[in-house]
Amino acid sequence: MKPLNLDDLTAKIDNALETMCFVMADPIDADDLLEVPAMKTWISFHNESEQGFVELAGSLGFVQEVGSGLLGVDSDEVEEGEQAEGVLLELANVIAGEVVCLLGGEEVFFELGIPTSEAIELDVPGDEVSVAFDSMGEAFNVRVERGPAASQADAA
Amino acid sequence: MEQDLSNIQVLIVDDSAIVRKAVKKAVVQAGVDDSCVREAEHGGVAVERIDEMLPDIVFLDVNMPVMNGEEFMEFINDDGRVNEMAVVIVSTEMNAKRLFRLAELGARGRLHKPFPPEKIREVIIDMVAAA
Repeated sequence: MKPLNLDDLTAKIDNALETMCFVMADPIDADDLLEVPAMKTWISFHNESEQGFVELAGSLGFVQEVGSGLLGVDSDEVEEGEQAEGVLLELANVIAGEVVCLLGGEEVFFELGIPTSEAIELDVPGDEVSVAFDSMGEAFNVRVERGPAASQADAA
Repeated sequence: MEQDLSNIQVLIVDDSAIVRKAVKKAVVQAGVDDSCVREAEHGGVAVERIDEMLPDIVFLDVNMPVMNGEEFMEFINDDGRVNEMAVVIVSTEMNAKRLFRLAELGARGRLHKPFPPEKIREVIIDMVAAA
């Protein structure tokens, strides 16, 4: 498996937040997160040789900030519940696209799943990379877990 | 003189209500009249929408449940309507093989997520100019 470079991942997420949502977030050490943010979404990816998922965790304030930029409304107009969840699901879709781009580029194909609010776990133990951000006191964490495809793990 | 885009018929196909709302906002800000913009949550609904309206431009997501973007392209390719509308792929998709397949099926443009909202206006102008 091609290693996922932490700096590249951080830069891609930073760019996605800024370009699409007008959110300026500072990368922080994942260990500095005081608590895991409450809202979570997941999206899976796989190809013939590997499988994985991206997990996003954001505080409601962070998600409202992202929704504000995405929808062009005030952050307090982004409603807690279905609308805020939809924002985080779409952000998962965009960030997962950037992750598979870093892993495979234009030539190695990865199939992305549909973003979901239900936790995803790998069939086999995998490697983990985590990036955390702070945006005006609001926390955001992205965790990528990857392992060999089930068929590869069986063969091993 | 600024180009009049008010009567351009636009269809936004995406399973995310948030994306549909965000793209619609950018389309309206680009100068398209709100009443000219329709939405569909997947390719199956998009097929129904194009029976009701003939869009000039379709902003199409790829990764959707029920009928995905590629299946929608195959459908409008088979019935020939792909030649009557400009389909722009709006996706995180980067795979060259799949993008080539979508272009083969008649997609005329591509917006790679993440993109700034003002990019929508540029794409609309490009598609109108090429029509």
